[in-house]
Amino acid sequence: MLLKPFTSVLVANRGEIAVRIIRGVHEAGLRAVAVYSEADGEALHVRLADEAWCVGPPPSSESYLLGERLLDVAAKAGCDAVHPGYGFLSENADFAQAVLDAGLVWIGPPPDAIRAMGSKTAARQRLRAAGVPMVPGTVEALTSPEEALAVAADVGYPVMLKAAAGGGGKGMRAVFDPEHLLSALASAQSEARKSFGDDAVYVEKLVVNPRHVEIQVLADGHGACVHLFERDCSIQRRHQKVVEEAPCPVLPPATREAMAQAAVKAAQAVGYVGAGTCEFLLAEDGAFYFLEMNTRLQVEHPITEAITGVDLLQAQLRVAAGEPLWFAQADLVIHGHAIECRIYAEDPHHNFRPSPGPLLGYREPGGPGVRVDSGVVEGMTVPIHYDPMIAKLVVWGETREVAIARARRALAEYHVVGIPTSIPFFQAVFDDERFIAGRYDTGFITPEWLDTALRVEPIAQDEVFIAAAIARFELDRSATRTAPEGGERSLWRGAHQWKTITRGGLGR
Amino acid sequence: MRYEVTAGDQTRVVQVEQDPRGGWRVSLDGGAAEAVHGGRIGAAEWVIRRGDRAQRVAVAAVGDVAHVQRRGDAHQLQVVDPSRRALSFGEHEHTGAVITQMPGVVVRVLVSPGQRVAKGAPLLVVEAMKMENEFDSPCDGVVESVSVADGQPVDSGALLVTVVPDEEA
Repeated sequence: MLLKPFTSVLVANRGEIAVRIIRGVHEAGLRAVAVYSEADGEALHVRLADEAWCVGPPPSSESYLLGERLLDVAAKAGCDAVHPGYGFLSENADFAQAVLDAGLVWIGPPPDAIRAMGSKTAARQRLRAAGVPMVPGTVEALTSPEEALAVAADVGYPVMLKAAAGGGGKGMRAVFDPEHLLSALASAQSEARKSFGDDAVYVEKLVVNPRHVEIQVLADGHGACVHLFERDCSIQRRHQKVVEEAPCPVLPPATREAMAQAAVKAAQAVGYVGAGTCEFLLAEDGAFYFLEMNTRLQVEHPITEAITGVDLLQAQLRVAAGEPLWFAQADLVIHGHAIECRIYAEDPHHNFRPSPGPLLGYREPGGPGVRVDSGVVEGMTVPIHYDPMIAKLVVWGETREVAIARARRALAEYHVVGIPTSIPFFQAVFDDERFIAGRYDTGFITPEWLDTALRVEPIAQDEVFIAAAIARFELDRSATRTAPEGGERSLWRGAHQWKTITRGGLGR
Repeated sequence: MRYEVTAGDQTRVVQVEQDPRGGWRVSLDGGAAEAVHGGRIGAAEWVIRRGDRAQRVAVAAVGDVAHVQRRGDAHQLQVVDPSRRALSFGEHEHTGAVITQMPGVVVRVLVSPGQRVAKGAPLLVVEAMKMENEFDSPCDGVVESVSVADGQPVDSGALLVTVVPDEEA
């Protein structure tokens, strides 16, 4: 693992995380080189970087995922380090190795650690041996129906059958009694064979109504490994996190400590270096089980930064440069409460259908305790080719109550005009009594909840009708005045009924 | 200019004229005209002032659709000029026209013209933002035309497939 000082970082990503990395790189006094696809020429990360290189057409398979092309840009632009962000190539051990082989610093964990955590069954075996609590069940694939019945009886019903090669809910079956086990096993195997070309299935105890709680860890290249407490990511839609908070509103201190120790053990078991996250299921009875380790900086890292005061991106850069961690576990305390909302270009009033398109108006909220990490700017078009997340709203408050009030206030201030976003969905979450009480699990968002909570479209007051009619009036008026080929998207052009007051000397 | 402005199930008639002294003269549902002033504070963000009361409103009009945001609530309204509606009448009028409300790329066309389809049968799949979205037949009927092909990018409002419903056939 190459750890040494560097001066120029290739930011191998797009969107808000590319912006986050560029800002951190600049704060460290280093040079940031961005890459972009043909669909992202207008994006914020391209504007903020010291220089930006186009790496191909819009589909990520022809641009952001082309490791060789990224390395080529790194060489041409004189970069001596690569930050992969999250998604794309961030957990691709071969790419990490290629970066190191090119003599560059990889701002991420060692390729071996990425590999060790990449295979679910291999990671289970290794971590169980290290004493990390796992959901009870088999580690290896089942060899016979008799074995399935015996193991299920042993761990106790309900159980979950899972495809060893699986993901995305395919090849998974929940079984509540022995009578249904064999037919469920047959269908899980057949689905696994069709989806992954491998019918290996293993069995686990089904954790009922779990919460998803994860621990942030940070390790340097000198043997130190600390945790930065937990994040509760139980508010999920279609297995995607949408709201995260730190700390978890229901975690007893003793459980937090035990979970954090398990996470540190897991990281040490694979020789982890850098920032990583261990995900756990928290059962209703307070037991917790390791799920997987994410070997990268997570989307929701800002809420940990908010409650600990540790800048995780700076930590990544300093660790990659070979520096030791500059604080110890005992220096870390939880201060206040933080909540993140992932703002998606999706229409919550129409079954969350994607809503790419022109951002005619865009203004982020501000004020005390509010941070917005985004990759968009007013006037640009949100492309159809990538993940729909356009921004993250992160709020901090001295208490959870203050943080929720601040989240509400910031959402009401947020203006996104031209495309629907998930903002109304978050308003419904923060109005829900179960959320306010902290009593929720990964089953919080159901179709029934969405129907009730999002049913009411806001009532339009007179001002809304008047504003809509005036906007249309000015659009019609500018259309009759400008040349037809004008193609200008600036609306309400020529409507300058309020004169701008220019103060002497300013704005020249 | 007179507009029919619809939000949800509420439609109101809004008359807008330019006021030569600045701002606009606006009347709601045939009421008395009042003076409204607007000050622009962003590309799609205005302060609307009625009398002495000013409010921040984010608004943009695109064709017949106006997006308005006010105090945390987002509204999407239809703003129709009744004198022009007659011109567009007749386009896609029957129930079998399948139109996309989002831009994307057609990844799979599952039917061909002449094919009989049941209500709810998948017709084609459009991908946007890494999500595949299936479009289903709105009625029992026969596919009359397929307006798109695999791999074709489509804009919001594009006609994808036309199904002739059984009762019209």
